[in-house]
Amino acid sequence: MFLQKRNAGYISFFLICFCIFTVLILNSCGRLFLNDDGVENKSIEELSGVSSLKIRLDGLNTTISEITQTVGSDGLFSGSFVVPEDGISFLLSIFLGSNSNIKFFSLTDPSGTDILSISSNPNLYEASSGNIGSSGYANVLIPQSPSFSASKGEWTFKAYSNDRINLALRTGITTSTTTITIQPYITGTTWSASEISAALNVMSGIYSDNGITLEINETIAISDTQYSAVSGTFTNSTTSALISQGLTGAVNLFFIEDYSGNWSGILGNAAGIPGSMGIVNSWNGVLCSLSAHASGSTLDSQLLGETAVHEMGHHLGLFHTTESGGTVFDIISDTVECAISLDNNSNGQVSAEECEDYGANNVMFWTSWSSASRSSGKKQEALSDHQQHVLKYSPLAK
Amino acid sequence: MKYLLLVCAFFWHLIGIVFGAPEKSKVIELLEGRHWKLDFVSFQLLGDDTDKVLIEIGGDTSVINYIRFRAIEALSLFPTENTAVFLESSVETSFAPLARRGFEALKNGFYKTHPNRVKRLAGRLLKHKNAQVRISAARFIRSIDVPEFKRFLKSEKYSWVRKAAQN
Repeated sequence: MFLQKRNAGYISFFLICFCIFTVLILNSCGRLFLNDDGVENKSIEELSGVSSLKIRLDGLNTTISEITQTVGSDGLFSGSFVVPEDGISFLLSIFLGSNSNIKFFSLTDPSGTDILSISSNPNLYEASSGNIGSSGYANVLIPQSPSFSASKGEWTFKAYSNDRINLALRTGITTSTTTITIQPYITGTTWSASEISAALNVMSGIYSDNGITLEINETIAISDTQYSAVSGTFTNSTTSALISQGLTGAVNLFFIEDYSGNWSGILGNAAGIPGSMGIVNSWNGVLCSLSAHASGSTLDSQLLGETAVHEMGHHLGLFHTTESGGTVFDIISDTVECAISLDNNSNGQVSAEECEDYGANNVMFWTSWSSASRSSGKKQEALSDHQQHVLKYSPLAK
Repeated sequence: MKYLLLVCAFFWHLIGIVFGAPEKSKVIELLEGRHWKLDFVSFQLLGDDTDKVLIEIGGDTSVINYIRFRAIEALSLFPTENTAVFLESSVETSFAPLARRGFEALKNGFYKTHPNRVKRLAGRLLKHKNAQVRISAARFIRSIDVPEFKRFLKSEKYSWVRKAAQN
């Protein structure tokens, strides 16, 4: 009995010594690791809090990564990322799974300017969804006008409680020729892929005239009947499932047979200004209604093409040059504004006809030409130099 | 007496000018645009006979559909017998997107005054070949006749249609 107790004592003593020795060894190793792996030797990703897992988009110089966040004493989430010297543009996206309202609190550039603050100049206050807030998804695009640039250095942000924050960062050099890839989809059985090719040609022509080449992939037909008509609400489960079929490295255009529900006379709509880029989700594309653009069974290819260009413009970050009331205008300085003083019929809205010499020919004007004006040859095909700048610098462009 | 009749006729003519059917172009102007919401006040200001112009536009197959869709939606603001007959006919004979909008307009314009008329049409539409039309009708039936709605759920073959009808 005594021997058994004495043996047990030796074993316990040995185990305690072993544990202490192991802790000392590991501790010294840790110090060695820290000493060897100083700040100066860390990668930009480690310094900036950007996850080492990066996904490069097919055919583009754009990478997608998730940003590590920490919660501060103020309850806000914060994080940072570094834009390298050859940074061209980025889209900072914030997600909240429950589709509740979500937004950033601040986004500070390397010079220390919070570009979401009303007191900064320039700023994206009440312009960017990342500042206004949106359901389930919001973002900040740089540049959304030539007044902004993806400056080299560390950008920091604070955000409200969220599920994750992703960065789509484009690097490299901008060339004289810009190309954007388009992936068209068609739903329903009334129209076929060949019947929207004329509208895609109109799109291609409009972009080409504005210095951008569209690389249009073959149209994918989606035969599942539940996608023939979908809601224009991108958080709707069916719409979400449809849009989530989109590619990551392209602008996804969904030519749906019709809108469902209360979206009675809508021609098309985008998931955001801009929408999501480079990530499979509910906001990664735009919708265009085919039935709305038809007379009988014949599609109005010019109008359908203009609608697709307009919605794609929103998806890539362009606002309406002039809003309906003639009092709100885009953040771009070289687009022509049409003020409410031109509302000749005093209906509180400025029509394309009333704004004929004041920007109605811009494809991002809030409304299209009337049927009568279109019949007489009026078109909306123009983009200003600064609007082209936003498109050419897009994370989805090359 | 003759002069009195002439004066009355003159005033009747003036009333006709003021309160008669608005010009088609004026109505179309309210239906135009890339973004559109039904403007109750603007349509009411057009006068009582606006339904006739909207019916003409809604039934004109040469007009681009977005204008026809909006004309049909606007008809819900003019719940006349002419409107009801036109919408019922559109629902029965038109292509699915227009049929669905016709039913929605009938429902919005007539449910309070003619609930049975709307219900009868909805009942027939539960067997429509287009899923969106069935969903629209089923959602309405769900709000007024639960047993009928349950029978629809049992007979509907597509699960996504059953799910959409319940949302």
